[in-house]
Amino acid sequence: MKDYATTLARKPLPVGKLIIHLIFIALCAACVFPFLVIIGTSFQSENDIVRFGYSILPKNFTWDAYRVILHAPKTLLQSYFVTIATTVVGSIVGMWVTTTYAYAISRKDYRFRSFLAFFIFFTMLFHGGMVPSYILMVKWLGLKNTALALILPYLISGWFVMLMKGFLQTIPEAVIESAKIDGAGELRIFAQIVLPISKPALATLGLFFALQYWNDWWLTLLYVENDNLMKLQYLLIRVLKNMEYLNSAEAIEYGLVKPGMLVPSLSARMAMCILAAGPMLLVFPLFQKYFVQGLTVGSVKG
Amino acid sequence: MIRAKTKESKKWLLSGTAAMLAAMFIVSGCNSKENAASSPSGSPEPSQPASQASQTASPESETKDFVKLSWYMPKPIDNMKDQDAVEAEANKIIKEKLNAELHLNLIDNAGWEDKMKLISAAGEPYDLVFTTFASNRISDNVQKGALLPLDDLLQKYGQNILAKVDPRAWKAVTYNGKIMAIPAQTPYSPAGAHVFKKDLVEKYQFDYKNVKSIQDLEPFLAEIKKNEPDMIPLLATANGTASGITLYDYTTISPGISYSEQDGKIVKILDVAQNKANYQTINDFYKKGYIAKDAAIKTDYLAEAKSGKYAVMRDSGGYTEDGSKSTATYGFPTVETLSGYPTISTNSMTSAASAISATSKNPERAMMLLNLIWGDKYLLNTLAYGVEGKNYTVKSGTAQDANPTIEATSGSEQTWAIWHNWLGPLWDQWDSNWNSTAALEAMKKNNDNGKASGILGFIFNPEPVKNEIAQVSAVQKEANPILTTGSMPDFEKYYTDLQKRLDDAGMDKILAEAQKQFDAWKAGNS
Repeated sequence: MKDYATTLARKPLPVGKLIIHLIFIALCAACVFPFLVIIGTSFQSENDIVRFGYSILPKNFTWDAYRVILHAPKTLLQSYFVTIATTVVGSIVGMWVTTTYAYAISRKDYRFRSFLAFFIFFTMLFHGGMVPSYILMVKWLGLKNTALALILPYLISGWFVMLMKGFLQTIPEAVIESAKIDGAGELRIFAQIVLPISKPALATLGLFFALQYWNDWWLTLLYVENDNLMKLQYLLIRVLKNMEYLNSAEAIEYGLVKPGMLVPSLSARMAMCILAAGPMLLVFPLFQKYFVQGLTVGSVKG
Repeated sequence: MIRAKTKESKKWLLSGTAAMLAAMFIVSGCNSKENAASSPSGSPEPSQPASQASQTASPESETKDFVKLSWYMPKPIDNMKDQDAVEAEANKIIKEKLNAELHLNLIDNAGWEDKMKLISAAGEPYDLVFTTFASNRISDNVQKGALLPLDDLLQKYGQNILAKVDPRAWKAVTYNGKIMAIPAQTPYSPAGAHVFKKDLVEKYQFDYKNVKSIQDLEPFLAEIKKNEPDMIPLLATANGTASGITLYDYTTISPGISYSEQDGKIVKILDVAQNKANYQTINDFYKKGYIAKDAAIKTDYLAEAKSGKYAVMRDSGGYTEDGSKSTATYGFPTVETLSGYPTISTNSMTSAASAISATSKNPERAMMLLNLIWGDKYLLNTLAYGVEGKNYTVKSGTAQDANPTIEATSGSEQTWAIWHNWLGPLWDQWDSNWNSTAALEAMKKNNDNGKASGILGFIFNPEPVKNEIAQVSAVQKEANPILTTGSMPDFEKYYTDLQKRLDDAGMDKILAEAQKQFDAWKAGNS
């Protein structure tokens, strides 16, 4: 096998490739730039922001914004804990439920396969809507202000099941049959043969679940009133909404803004954003290699 | 991925789908019928007859059973921490007088609207709720049948309330002849004011007291532009600009539609010549560099104002002759001059109100509680300011007196606050750093002398033109930042363009609907 680097050095890049590279570089910059601005802004002082606008390299570097947010770290730490706990529990349980369901409907020799496949597919097309699901969660299951309310609704989704099923169907039936002939039971086949084969798909699914639970604020908004169960992203939304509200025409007109009222500063909002998104940024690269493999589910791999 | 299916399973799939779909339509059909039956638009049926047969029942027997009351309201400040202590203090009184216990459900602003919608839709039981013309909208709630009509309850248990509420305000909360909420005492016609940075006014000897219109600001702005390179002459952001740009003798009915107090006509606000002239002036200011180049993408009026970078700003909600209000809110010495008083409208009278839920299990006790708040100064101020020593300190007198002077904690130390007008009787507020007794007196006088709009009590029902309003609002949402900051290259073209776009969005249909409803209302009210 030739060393790719040396070929690269000897042959000039064809123009087409160069253009594609440039397009991707531009795309990358477009993704990274806003984030750099947020990071830069979070180290600026309030007056500098108003005076010079947002910038990647702050003129006067300051930790003030982080000091303000971490001044009362209890709420933040608590919401970190809630977010991490729901993400871990939700991802693990969700993956288990999704994978078992998907495996069952991927097996051609399973009797209720088409019915169950349709059953989950149907939820992708129609859903009851917000109010019925709220009534179910709050009135029937009594889950208002519980951690379960932050986990349960996302445990299974048609889209994830279909994705997983698509992957599991690529496992040759012969593998499963030969295991059967060797005397393995269904559980053993699933746990010792199917799961190890589908590692890339599982990693992908895990990432999807983790992202979903990490970034979720909607469930907090619907089902939680207790400050100790707030998720991180919801705190962020809260900070932004508060500022919106204090600047609304009504609030100004009816004098709801009282002297000495705490309004989160621009840089504090940015710092909050960094603290909320940071951990995911660190986790993502670790998943990256599986991710690429897992997403090519169904296409031919050489 | 795609596998050849046997004919058998295909058939199953098809008929299965068909059956499912059919079932769904039937279910959803039932649903919509049910909805139609349970909420006749605009005339809610109280879930229980409010007036009992026993007219002679004494209060003792009526408060025999101990009950718990819940009250939903938005969080006034973000870091509310002392709720248990405040509730315990308030419940001492409530338990003794009414044999009841109050729990406040404070929802932060991020979730308030959505949560209340869901709670109403799900029919969750609760007792009291904060409702205004804009936040947890009173008209939406009435339409959904979420509120209880209060007439009988008020007569029976609400004597303090009836004595204290501005009699004109009942009109604003009356739907189909029924009182649906209790309007709070609040500034009904908050004065608009121009705010100037004090040191600059002194430096350039500007006669700020003589500013009557936004056009009068020109010489001062020009001076600042010329001599103060570090300052921006006029503060405008996407959601606020110079005071006085709103036309005080026009009362808004629906977005973009207003009632002219002078000739009693309903007009499209963009068609009013004065309105156009004002925005033209703002555009002129922008072109001359009096307004920040990127004003249209700034959304944080308060943060901008606090930065002290601007020479001229708008009021922070009201007017004080010595500029003390804006000085306190913006955090540097300022002076103010009055730009005008809006007419008292249905909206301003419902800028804070309390209602009783149709799902309340104890509406009588809820009304008694409101009545107690409107009668007991100590209870009201405890709920608003918090607990003595923890959330406020007494400066003179004692908390048991009628009128002590207190100092409420503020800034990052503040862990409790509910604004008095959210609870109801603002004029019973103790003298404090929030409002001095003098300021309250001034507000009250303002209300009493305020000119009520000619359409007070007229409530526009947007239902028939809901789609048009949504479209109009969408256009406005996009255009308002540009309009308020004057940041368009060609004003004339932009303005006529905007008029045309709004007309395309269905402005005329809304206008016709408003006119129709107004005529009907007028016929029934004259």
